Amino acid sequence: MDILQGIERVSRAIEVLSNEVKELKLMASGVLPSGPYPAPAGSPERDDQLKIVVGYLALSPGMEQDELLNTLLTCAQQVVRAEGAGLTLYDDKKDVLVFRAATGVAADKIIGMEVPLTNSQHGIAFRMRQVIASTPMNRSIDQATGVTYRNVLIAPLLINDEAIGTVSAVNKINEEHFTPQNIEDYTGFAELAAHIIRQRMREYNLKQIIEGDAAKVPEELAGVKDLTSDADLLDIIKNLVTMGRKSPEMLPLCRQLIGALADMG
Amino acid sequence: MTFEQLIDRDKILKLMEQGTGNGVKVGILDSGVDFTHPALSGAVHRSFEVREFQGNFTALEAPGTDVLGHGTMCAGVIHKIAPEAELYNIKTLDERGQNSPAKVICGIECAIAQGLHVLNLSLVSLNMSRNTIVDMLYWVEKAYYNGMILVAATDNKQKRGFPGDYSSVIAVDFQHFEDFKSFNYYPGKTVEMEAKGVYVEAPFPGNTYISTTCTSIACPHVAGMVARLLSSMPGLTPFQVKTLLMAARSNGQNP
Repeated sequence: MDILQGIERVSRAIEVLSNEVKELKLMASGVLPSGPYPAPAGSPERDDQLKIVVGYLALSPGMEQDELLNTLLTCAQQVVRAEGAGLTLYDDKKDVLVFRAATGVAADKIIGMEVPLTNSQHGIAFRMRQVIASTPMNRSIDQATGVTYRNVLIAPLLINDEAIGTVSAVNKINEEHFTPQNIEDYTGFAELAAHIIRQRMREYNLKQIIEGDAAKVPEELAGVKDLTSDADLLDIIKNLVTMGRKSPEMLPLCRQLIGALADMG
Repeated sequence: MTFEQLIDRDKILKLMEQGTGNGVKVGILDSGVDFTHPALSGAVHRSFEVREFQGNFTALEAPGTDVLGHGTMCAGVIHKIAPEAELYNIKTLDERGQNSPAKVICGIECAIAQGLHVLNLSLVSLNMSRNTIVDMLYWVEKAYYNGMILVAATDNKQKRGFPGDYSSVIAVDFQHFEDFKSFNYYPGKTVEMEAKGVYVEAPFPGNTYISTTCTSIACPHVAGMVARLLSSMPGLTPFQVKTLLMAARSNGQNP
């Protein structure tokens, strides 16, 4: 997207969102609670830019990545009353799903494990974009953890109907199987989880742009691709940051634009 | 007089019980079928694969090896319900498990060319463009007017999605039923049927079995049931089949 087109688009958005931009300015001038947010490195201008962006993001970037994923999985476990839960993200280079987080018994042994997409329930959930409850197929997970899994519930993590990974629950507590109601609940939960992960990815991308090369996309999110709209927004923000650095007089406008863009995404 | 009183449900259920699928061609448009699985021995009549050549898709006669296990599960359910039906494997997923509406359209075209009576589509797309929806509609309607009964899975959560949303396709959701002859039918709803789909035992590649719950596994229960009906009463049109299904539905009893 051309930067002029981008600025035009953002200007229109600013007009509509003028009230929110006012609020944003207040936040950037110090009203923004600083407690849970880490102090980003760099110049005061950069700090302000980051605060603006952070203010528009739903999640606290102060939360460590693992903590976020683990919180997500604790919820994933509890929402269907399971003994454990796992989260995989797609590695497109190897064409496999990789466990990036897990909770429950022997969870630490699962993290990093690769799950093939062929002839596996994870593969069906991921490729067919469908929630599936079944008896376990992949006994290599049992072998690695030393735990016998009785049943498994797997939901794809979908962003705009594109799968980025899976979230799964194992061993239904006090019952033989996961129920159809569990499947329905998990579908909704997986949708939420996918958006949280996507949001986290965007946040890291924004940080990377604003902080330069200092921030690195964590391995957990490396497999998550930007949507076209996200990539467009990031391009515009990148251009705005460059413009702000080259022309300090443009900085106030750039701050406004970045804030509005972060909100639009 | 009610609709149910016009048509004898018991007679329809008896037709289903008597039917074996004999003489009925059922297509499984999916990830392929592992025809070496003992549970599918001799069931797969022909196999096709949709492949891309210079931007165009074409269905070629090929082994149609299953890449996911999904198609094998569906074929296993149909074969169990209608053991004498001739199964046609139409593989649209490539080795990386990728599918596309264009490949599905090509698969439907292949099903029409092969003169299939029933086509199982245990797949759903929620984000097809308007143009693609129109493109696919042409082929779905063509199949319908050729007398083919198309059965498609619905989305787990949103209970919608194509191709199930077309009125000429029977969209299926899963429900807990003991056997394939028990099902719900909702005339006028986008998702017309609920069929057995909770912890269904089905064959899986590698000479194994999987017990699974999903809309994909409910869909072949309807396809198999329709194959039974067609073998008992050859020549039923899609409209007649739908009418019989509605009359035999489990949720229409005990008014």
